[in-house]
Amino acid sequence: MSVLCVQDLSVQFHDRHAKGETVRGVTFTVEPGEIVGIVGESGSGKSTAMQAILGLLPERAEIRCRKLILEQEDITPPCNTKSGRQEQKAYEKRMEKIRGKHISMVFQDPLTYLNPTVKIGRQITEVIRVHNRTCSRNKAKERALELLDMVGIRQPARRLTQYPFELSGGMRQRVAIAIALACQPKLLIADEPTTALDVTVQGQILQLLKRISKETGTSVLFVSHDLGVIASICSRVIVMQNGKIIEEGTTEEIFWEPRQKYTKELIDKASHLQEPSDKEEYREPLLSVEHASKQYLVKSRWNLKGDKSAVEDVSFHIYKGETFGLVGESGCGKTTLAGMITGMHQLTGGGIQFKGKPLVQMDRQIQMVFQDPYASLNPRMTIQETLEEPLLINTKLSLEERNQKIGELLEMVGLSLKDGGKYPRAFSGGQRQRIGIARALILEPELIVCDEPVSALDISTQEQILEILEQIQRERQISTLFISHDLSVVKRISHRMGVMYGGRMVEVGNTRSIYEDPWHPYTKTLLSAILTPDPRIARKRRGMWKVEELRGELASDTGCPFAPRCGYAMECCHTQRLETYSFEEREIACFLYSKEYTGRRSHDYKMSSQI
Amino acid sequence: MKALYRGNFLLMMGTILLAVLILLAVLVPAFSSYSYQAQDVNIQNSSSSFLHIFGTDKFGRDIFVRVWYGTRISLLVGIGSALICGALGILYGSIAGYAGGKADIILMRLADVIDSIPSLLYVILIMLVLGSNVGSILLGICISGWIELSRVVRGEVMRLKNQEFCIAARMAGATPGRILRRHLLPNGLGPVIINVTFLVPKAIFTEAFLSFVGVGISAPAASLGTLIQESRSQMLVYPTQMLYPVLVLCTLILSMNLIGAGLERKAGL
Repeated sequence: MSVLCVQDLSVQFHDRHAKGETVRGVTFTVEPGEIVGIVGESGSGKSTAMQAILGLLPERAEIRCRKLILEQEDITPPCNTKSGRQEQKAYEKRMEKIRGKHISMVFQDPLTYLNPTVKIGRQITEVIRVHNRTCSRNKAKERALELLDMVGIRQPARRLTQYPFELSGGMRQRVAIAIALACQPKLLIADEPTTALDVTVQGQILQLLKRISKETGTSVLFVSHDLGVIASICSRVIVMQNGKIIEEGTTEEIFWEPRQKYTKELIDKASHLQEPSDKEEYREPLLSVEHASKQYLVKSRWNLKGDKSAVEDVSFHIYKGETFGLVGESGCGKTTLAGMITGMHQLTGGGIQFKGKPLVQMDRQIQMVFQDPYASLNPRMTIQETLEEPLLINTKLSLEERNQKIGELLEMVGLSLKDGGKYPRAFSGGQRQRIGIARALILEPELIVCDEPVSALDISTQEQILEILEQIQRERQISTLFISHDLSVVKRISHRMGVMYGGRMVEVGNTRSIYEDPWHPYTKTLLSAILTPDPRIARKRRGMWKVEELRGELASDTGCPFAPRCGYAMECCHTQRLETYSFEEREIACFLYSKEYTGRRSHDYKMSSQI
Repeated sequence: MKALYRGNFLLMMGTILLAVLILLAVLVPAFSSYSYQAQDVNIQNSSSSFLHIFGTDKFGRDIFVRVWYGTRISLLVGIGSALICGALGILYGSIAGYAGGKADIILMRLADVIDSIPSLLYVILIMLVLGSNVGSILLGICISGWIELSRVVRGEVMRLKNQEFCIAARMAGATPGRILRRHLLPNGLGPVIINVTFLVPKAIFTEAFLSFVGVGISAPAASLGTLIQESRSQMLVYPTQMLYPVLVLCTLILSMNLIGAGLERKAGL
């Protein structure tokens, strides 16, 4: 007896923009206790299908479904063109009872999912009491405590009285899962639950879902675009493309013997990202950041002189022509550092040398590619105007020369001069990002700073953008600072990389050697959290994240910021001032590599990983 | 243009009404055989006829011509003050918003100080000093009329200035003036235009009110407010003398409000 049985589900939007069906004849079943993954690019209809099952789609969506059975209950939505209002209302009423009780959902962004003005405890007990009227307030509270404990939140009693903003992203997602599990549903639909989280937290949430499914026997429908995530958690996989299920099978079948071309491509792309690239070395420094710090003045009534460091004593070089990758979890100071290099933020300590001269303000030779392709182009300017602006300001080229240059660059990023007359709204996210790259390149800069340029894009679009960046790098020898939280992207594109944690650069070195042999405990944690799109490897890692994540603390003057989370932490890690130690190409900020710890060493001592 | 009016009944109605009113206000005093100030003892207080469509007042002046002459003044005050306040508010607000920090605090507090005195008081004081004519009414309204708009503009500029496309323009070396002109204002134009539109009926109303109270434009020049005030003494005997200017004033304010509301709906605010 399967938990969910969907037969011939189709969804059509009657809208000016979207023509045709977004979901076409989808049929699948979910067995008790299994985790089924649904993969596909954005726009393939994954989420729409899930919402149709829950009856959450807006009225203008036409849902047709032959059969939709949850356990023994028939929850087939009425066909809204034929059925009357009465039937529609009855369906709504039935679904209200089922949602949250028998099927529940976990969404991508726990911040928008949780009500910011209501305490966590109230949000959990509310769900319990809505579906179980006889449950007393105290009983509900007990159950809430039990639930928080189950999802691995420490001090549940204290958390119950806190508001969502007091919790970190990972904890919020845990609370969202607790709410979803409140009524012991038969089926949990998780729609990209880890996409908005850092890699290390993502690992923890996946472990949690797996454990819960095993302990409570809940079936999970796991929607994701990330094959690594799917491989590590699901036992069965459904691949969707253009609203249709194109392939279905056990995880092993899908990953090792994909029958469809599209599935093969998806897997190839994902594994391709994993391979580090061998690249030649560059040795002429273009940009050197020396002991750069940025402190923000925190104005609060109680703490008058408190300043917070966003970036603390960071030093590294970028050589001419190379791509330098910068990774770290959100809030670690990557973007602030990018702002300092581009001249948007003033340094509060240290300095930056660009081409041998100190960098004081914005330099035309440093340009930037932004994260959000939708916010980075002026919606009221055509592409031509956007690209022309830097030329008008900085050069005295004639109209023809300008047009020639714009055409050349647009071609380089895979667009044509014909597109120049259009406004940004006519382009997709990937195309906009190409335009953003063209704009950054138009002044022929020597350094471009890419701040998470692909994190808002689909896997296949990501691949295209990375290819363009690589091609530009090859052809024009432009140095790139590539910032990303996605380790596989950095691995793919960068020659050398730096790892940041809590405002400090904890490790710098060649990408390849860092990936093969991480020296810093944090780097190791990060690397072990990467999910490979290979079920065998992905499943092997378990039990690695026992500790509940702590809120990423900001750098303090004394001690290592990673010490509270570090398994190798020593006495000195909490108290002494952290220094950076260099060994050949590797620079590392960790006491494990200090003279005091490794002892006096001879001149030709070769340092190796201490962990 | 077509797209602007499609399915927007409010905006269409407002524009048609306003166009008719402007046409009448321009054409009637220009082509009528009567002057707005010529008195005629023989036809005092006559009622509507073919010669005098709205009748005549107690001095035998043609009310039809006087009403449209008054509409001219109302429109001049309304649109003139909206343009001046619009220009001032956009300039001030964008400077404050773009500069940010201390400059912003100083500029906005200064605006608060100016705004803390009721705008009617400014108008009355200036009328007393500079005499009661259209110029001084405009000046009085514009002293504090731009402040609300400048707050809106400041907010828009502050919201937009840290958007990535503005940072990109700054990196390309664009000057603040260029960034404001090309990047910030075009994107924040929606709420600004709506606010400017709503300034017009406000100014028209202020002028009419002041003229009615007796501190506005004085005879023989006629504004809608003056006409209503003059006919007040004979309200019970000749109600139509009051009715016509009131109707025209209402239509005028209604048309501007319709345009404002229509634009607001269009912008989805």
